[in-house]
Amino acid sequence: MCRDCGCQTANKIAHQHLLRFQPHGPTRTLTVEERVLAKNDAIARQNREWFGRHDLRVLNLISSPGSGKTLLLEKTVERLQDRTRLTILTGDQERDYDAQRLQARGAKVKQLNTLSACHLDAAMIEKELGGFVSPASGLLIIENIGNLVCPAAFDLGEHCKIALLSTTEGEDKPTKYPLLFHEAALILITKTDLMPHLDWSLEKCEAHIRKVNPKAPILKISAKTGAGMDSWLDYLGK
Amino acid sequence: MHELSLAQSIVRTVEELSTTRNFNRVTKIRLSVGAFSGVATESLNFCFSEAARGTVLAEAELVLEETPLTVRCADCGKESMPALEEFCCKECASTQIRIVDGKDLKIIDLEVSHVP
Repeated sequence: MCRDCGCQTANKIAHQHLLRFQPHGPTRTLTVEERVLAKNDAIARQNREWFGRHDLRVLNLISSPGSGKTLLLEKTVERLQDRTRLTILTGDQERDYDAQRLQARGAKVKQLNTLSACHLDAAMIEKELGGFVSPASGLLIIENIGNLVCPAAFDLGEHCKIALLSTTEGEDKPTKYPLLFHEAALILITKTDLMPHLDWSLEKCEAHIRKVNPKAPILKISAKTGAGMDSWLDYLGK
Repeated sequence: MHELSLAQSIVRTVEELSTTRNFNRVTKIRLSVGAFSGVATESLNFCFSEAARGTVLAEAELVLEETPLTVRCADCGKESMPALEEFCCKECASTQIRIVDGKDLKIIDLEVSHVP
């Protein structure tokens, strides 16, 4: 029991009076039952409706920093039959290096800078709809901030999340970051060209993936050599 | 996770509620922290006290309750609460599961008062 006010919360995880206890008069309890991310999710739902109305397919690429998202997109743009049908929004905290790389390949791309935030959110995407993201596009790819935790929790309104994992990362990442890999509709193993030089097991990695996601297709890709790129382009429907 | 921005988001939500539900002081706020939410409770505790300064939550007691991961199995149809390391149906060990609870950070309720 709290000796200041007599409340019975000693069995909870945290019990803390932030200031010296002050009498507060009669109180009432208000039921809230609201998810903290409810506002983001409401905007995400509106985004999803906008995408549906305009027949736009939207993919959210999520991975650690350095897994090869940007190079994959560079090579994708190079091989597309019709580049005007793809729009890319690329997120980073600072700078527009990724957008520059993609623009150099002829992509229609905009850099979103979050400054301090470690993930894109639905409101950032909503701002672009009807402006930079036009209904004529057909396919929107969102390259999220390099981060395996927070982007998995923030719905942007996409049709599916795609998780990337490179051969230079631990095979056990999928079970260490289960939320992302469980929710991903497609998992890309990147930098497969490096496998002969690494003590890295594809079988172990796939086993870890299957522990948290029994169904999602797993594509093995080297953007550098082109291995596996056909299957990725087939998935994009290009 | 970015507990400071989560704490700021909670403060904003409660400040909005204070005008529609007519209170100007919160004495207690109960949050449900999903085991699968990625939220670090100690960080959230610390960040909350910073974010609440000068707001209707400045004197609020923060109570954090953990909500375990609950999954529903597509194979046997049952719900179970596996440990995070297991991540499969506890009844039949299938991995064909869907998360039904334990992913979220939620505001459960507030104890409020109106001080003239």
